[in-house]
Amino acid sequence: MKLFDSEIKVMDVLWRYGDLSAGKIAKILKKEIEWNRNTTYTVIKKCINKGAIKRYEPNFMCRAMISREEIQRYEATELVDRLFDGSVEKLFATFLSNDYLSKEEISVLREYIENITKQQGKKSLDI
Amino acid sequence: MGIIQISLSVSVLILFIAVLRVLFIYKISRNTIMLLWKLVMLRLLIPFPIPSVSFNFNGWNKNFDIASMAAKGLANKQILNSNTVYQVGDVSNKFSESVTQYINPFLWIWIIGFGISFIIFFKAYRKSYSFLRESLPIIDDITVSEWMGEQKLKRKVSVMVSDKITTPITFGIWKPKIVLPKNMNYQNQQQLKYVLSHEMVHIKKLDSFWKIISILVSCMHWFNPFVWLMYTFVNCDMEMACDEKVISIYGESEKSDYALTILYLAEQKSAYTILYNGFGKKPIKERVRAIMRYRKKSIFGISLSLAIILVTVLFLMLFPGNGKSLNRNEEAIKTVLEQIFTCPNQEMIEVYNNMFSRIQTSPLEENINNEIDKKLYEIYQPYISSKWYESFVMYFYSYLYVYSTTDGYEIAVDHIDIKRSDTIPTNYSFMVYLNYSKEGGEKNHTKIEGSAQFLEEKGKISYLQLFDKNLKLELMSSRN
Repeated sequence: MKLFDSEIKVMDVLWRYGDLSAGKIAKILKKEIEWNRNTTYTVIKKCINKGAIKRYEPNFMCRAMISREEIQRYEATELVDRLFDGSVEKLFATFLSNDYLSKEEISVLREYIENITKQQGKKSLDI
Repeated sequence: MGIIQISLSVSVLILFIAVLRVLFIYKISRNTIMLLWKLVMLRLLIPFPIPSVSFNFNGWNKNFDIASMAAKGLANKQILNSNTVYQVGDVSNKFSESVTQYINPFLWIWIIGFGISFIIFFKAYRKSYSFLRESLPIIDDITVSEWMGEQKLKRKVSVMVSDKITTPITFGIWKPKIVLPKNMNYQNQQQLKYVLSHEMVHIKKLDSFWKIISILVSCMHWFNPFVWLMYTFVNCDMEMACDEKVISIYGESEKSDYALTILYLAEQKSAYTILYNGFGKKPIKERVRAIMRYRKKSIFGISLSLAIILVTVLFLMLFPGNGKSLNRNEEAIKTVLEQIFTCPNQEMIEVYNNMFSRIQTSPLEENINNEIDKKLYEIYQPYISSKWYESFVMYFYSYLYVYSTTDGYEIAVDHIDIKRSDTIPTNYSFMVYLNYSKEGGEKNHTKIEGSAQFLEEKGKISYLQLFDKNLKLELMSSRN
């Protein structure tokens, strides 16, 4: 699902603290980014409409129905489709060129790729 | 309804300024034009004429004062049909009531027009505001922090970012907020600084406030297409005045860079920015042209600007007005009352004596009262409307006689307080303060209340009431 920055901000609070009442969320955001209560409530409602938040009683409790990882995956896929012709390779090529990544980051990535390859390898073996 | 008068006379000024801003487009600064618009808007905000320092065009005002025209129509009918015009102690407000009922439809039409315009703007405002308030504060941008450090302003300015807009928007008067679009090139420091400076100029000049004023004025004068024309000019000129200021800050050498920034941002589709200062979407061509042709103004340009400002201020102070007619009405009341309440009134006494002696000598002569009629006409006709004059003489006849010619009494007007009605501008109420004394006796004071109406012409009373019992009774009994 597509979430705007304001909605992700609200989700972020739930991801950090777990289930909270709407009032609590409003308080936190008031302190962090100076949103007034109505603004927060409006955004929470939008999240509920999109299914990202589920409301349960008592006290207008909110629960995140979608995780941070899911959103990340969605946005990333969106980005790849939109700007890189659906090719993840092209996205990585962009990062790998132009000194975008540090040496440490590159070695972390390499490890990550090796792990994934091993896992995939195991799977194919099982079959 | 004075607002129509003001609206129409200011329309002339709006046209004047509109022509000027095209004629002298590069000779006078946009800031000067903005100053003119601001003066005009302030004037339009005040829905009644400024008394004392004003003229009016007699004919003009007559035609465009719709409410009093309507009232006049009804008033005439009333006078002709009514049998009970004046009686001592008659405190009837029937007359004013029926006039009020007739005026209301026009007031209601205005209220409805105002309401509809206001609602339209308000809806647009709410739409924009709803996604602007969901913007997030900008963090970790060096350029922005640097720029903010350089700013000196009493009010705290926050810079935010939103993924729902495509051009920068500034809003808020006490806590100004600049909201930048997410999809902007934040790496281009120069561009970013231009944008921020542009918005900052809007903040410093209180443009958010003036935008609200322009909307309020357009709603108040919803019936006047010239005011709507001015509204579009104001939006356009506001942006250009801002561009001018930015260039004067950065220097003419950066004109082209700045113009390119504007073009780049204009390529993005823009959000609905009625109440907020965006980076300006519509007249991009005009703006770029103005920027490229920006130059410091010559002496000619500056003196021209001053002259135009002066002319504008004078115009706004003088037109339209009820000033003169206000004084004419008050003058009429004063003069009539002074004539009535001056005793002994030598002129009148002479005339009456003449009449009496003629009656003695030739009692059968016709038209003996002619002299008196002529005298009364001479004195009162200039201040009484032609339609009501006959009634005035008829009903006031005995009182004029009594108040001004009673033997052994001295009456003089001390002063008169005249008050114009707030609801019906053609109605006045007054209080005459009199000093009077019986021959050789002590001085007495009394006050008499009354009201006057000016439904025909300004300066000519169309109806007069005096609420006095005591003085008249005293005078009449002493005559006997």
